Amino acid sequence: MNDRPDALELIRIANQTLASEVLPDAKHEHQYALRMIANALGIAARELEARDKTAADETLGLNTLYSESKESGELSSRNLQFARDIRLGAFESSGAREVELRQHLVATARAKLAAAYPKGLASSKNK
Amino acid sequence: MAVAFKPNTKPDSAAIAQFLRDACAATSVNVSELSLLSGGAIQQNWEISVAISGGPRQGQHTWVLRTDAPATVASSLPRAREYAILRFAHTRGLLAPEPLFLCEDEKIIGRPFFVMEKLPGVAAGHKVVRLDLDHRALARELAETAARIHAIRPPLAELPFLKTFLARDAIGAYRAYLDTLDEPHPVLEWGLRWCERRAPAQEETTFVHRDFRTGNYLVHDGKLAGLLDWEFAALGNPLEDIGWMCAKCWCFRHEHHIVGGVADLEDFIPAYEAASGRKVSAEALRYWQVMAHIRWSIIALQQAQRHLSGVEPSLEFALTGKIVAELEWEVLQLTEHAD
Repeated sequence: MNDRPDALELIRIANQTLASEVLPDAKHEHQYALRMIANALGIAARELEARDKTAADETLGLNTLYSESKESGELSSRNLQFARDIRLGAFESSGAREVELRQHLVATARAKLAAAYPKGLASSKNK
Repeated sequence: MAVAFKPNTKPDSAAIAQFLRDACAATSVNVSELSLLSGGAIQQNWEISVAISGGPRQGQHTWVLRTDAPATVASSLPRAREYAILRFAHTRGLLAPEPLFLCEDEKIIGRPFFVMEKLPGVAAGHKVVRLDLDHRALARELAETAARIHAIRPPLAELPFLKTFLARDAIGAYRAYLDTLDEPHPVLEWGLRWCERRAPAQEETTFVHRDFRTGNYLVHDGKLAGLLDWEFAALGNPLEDIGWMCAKCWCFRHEHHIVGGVADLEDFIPAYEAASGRKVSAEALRYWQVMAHIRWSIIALQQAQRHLSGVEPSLEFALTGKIVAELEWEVLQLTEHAD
């Protein structure tokens, strides 16, 4: 086991240092790259922070959609099957099924956006 | 064997000068001031200053040299095809820059390239959306230009290689790309299924630009001065161009002006309808807005793969992959009350 600060704590302080000590005096030609670095670190921190909860919620959502009471396999392989099923129209047997599907997709998309671009949630209807 | 071509490495100006001397039948040519123009993740545009002595082009010129970005597959055909499309679009008065010289010999600068005239104006999307100009007038010019493009119908004998991309062709192509990836994309699959179930029974087929958006046109003195980046041109549903122009993802954070961040639907759609004689229903517009976000997602995933594959490590490409979250969210927003 690694000592603290852990990965998330290191990314956070690295990003804070970048914002407070490097970006303000950075040369114009470096600003674009530095802003990209800050953005990448921010996304990484938010993804790490939410990773366990996002995975748990997504698993729960898939369990509901597939009427399964416990995990059946890796989330990534379940999502591969899920994507294939969507393409084949597997959730279109009734309006209620379609609503269930959509709710799950909205929940997973919201979690993804909260990490990638939280401002995108603030300006949308589907909060 | 192609010469190694590193990202953002300037092409060899002496080699370009020699090529232009032959192409222009000049006695001497000097090429200076190579500077990389904005945009162009797939292609690079270099502004070049050219001094020509002798021959029909004698004088001082500012031209644009266009070539593949490093990670694209080395092949002369796409450049030659784009050159032909540009020639076609320029001749037809579609605001395309005039293509001047094509070089398919990879030995000159390591990649095929062509040289075209440099049109005046600002193209960079984040600058265009901040310009102080008459938004309605710009919207009308964009609408009329789109209508002129879409008035051209197949067959096009000059461009026999053009592919046809109607709604179902696009859906098939995007699914085929998703199938090449290891990671699943349920929301994109859902969006594609949504598009498949609502695909128009019949579609009009016209010449389409397929990258008709803010960032790809030039504004000079408040007026539309040019239309760039024709490499995706094809035959397809004209409303695809309209949906692409009206997609939130191409508003450069100026979403209050949903038409490319520069105008409102009321300024653009009626003008397009009047100029084209074509009706754009709210449903059809929404359909092609959804398709636009899916298509940009696919392109963003492709950009991310350029980084992930190790071919072209780039933070910019890596972050482009993260844009997909926003695009998927917009697909869900657009379809929320669409049935």
